[in-house]
Amino acid sequence: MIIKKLTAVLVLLTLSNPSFSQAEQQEKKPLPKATKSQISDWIAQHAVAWDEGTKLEISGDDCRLQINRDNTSSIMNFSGILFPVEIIAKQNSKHAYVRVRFKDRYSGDYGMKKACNAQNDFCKKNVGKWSPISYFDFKVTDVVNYIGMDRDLNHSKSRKLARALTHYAKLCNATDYEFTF
Amino acid sequence: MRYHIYFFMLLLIAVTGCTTTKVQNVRYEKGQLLKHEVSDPVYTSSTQKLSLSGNQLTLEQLNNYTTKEIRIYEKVQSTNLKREGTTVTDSPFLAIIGTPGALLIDVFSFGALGVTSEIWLKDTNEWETVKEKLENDFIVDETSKRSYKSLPLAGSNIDVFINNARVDSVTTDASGNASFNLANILNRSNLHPKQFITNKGVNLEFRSEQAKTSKKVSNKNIPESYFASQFEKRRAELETRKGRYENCSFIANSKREFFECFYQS
Repeated sequence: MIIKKLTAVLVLLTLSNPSFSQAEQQEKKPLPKATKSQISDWIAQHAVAWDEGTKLEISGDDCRLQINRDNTSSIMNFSGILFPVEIIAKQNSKHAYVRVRFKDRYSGDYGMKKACNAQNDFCKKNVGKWSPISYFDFKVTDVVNYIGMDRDLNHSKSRKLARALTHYAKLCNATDYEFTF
Repeated sequence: MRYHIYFFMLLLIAVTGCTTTKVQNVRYEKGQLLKHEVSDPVYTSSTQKLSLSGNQLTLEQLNNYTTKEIRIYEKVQSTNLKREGTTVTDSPFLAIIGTPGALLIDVFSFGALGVTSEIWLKDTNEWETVKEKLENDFIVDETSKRSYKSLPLAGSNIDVFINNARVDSVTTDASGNASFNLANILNRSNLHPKQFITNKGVNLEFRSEQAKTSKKVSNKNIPESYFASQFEKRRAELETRKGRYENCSFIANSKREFFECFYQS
């Protein structure tokens, strides 16, 4: 009897061990959502990596991303994104494009671009005229049959990027309309 | 011997022929220089000049003077007479008909006209009369040179205009100088900085009572301090376009670049 009681006490003590139960709880807790700076770093790294054919330089700070290519420089403001972030295909191209559209498409308030050429040392110097853009396409290189192919790893890249951009925009207070129709 | 006679006869014909033939258009060339006079500078007029260098203005009065230089030459009949009709001949023997220089000395020293060169030079009418008479016997070569003396104009008011609107005024110091600060002037003008980005710069003009000067200042030469103060002054207005305000703040390395970004689309 005494041995049985002791075993029961031991079992109870083991189960109520605080360190053991905390570890179990943590395993069930989902990963934290990325913060603004984390997500912008993530986007910068992945957008550059996944656009294989182009030399990109992405810099950004607090809801803005500036993307320099050889012949253009673009800047977008994530607070002005018009949802949803789309994944599109272009004719005669096997790449996927993640298209980010901006509100007030003619104003240049949320997206602008300028041409880079010898005059501004290919965007190294801040010379030249900025003009409004209504959308910006992130290219995800060489996606084969991505339409509707959930199992396709390549397609998951563009979806992941689209989700990251959406998340970043929401952190930047880009608002979607709160009604249905 | 016979040749000598022929030669003599030809000579005679030539000489007599020349003296009897009427020359229709006698021309003269300058012979020996008989007199060379340079007058003292004679005051003619004065003007005011406003000049601009960097951000410094200089106002000065220019007194203009004229110096006359007169050369009087012997009058010598030209050996290159032009033929006129059939009556004109020229002969090397009679071509040179000089007028003795001695006559001229009379004109100057005791002259019937009784004026000295200095007086004629100062009094234009007098000189013109003398010149006319002299030209009967001599060749008169007259040139004039202009010169000026400048005096600084102190304590003068100079108005500053931007794109034809008066915005400020400055006063010259003892040496006729006045300086200005373009950024301050632009700030006073109440012009919107977007004009300087989208237009072709600023037309800066300075006017004193009798002189003016102007300068075109391109966007690149407008001081950064102007854009900086305009940025602060118009911040609320700029922030109404929040996205662009943020984007341009991110892109621009200076407030000028900010305005360039903000107003170029």
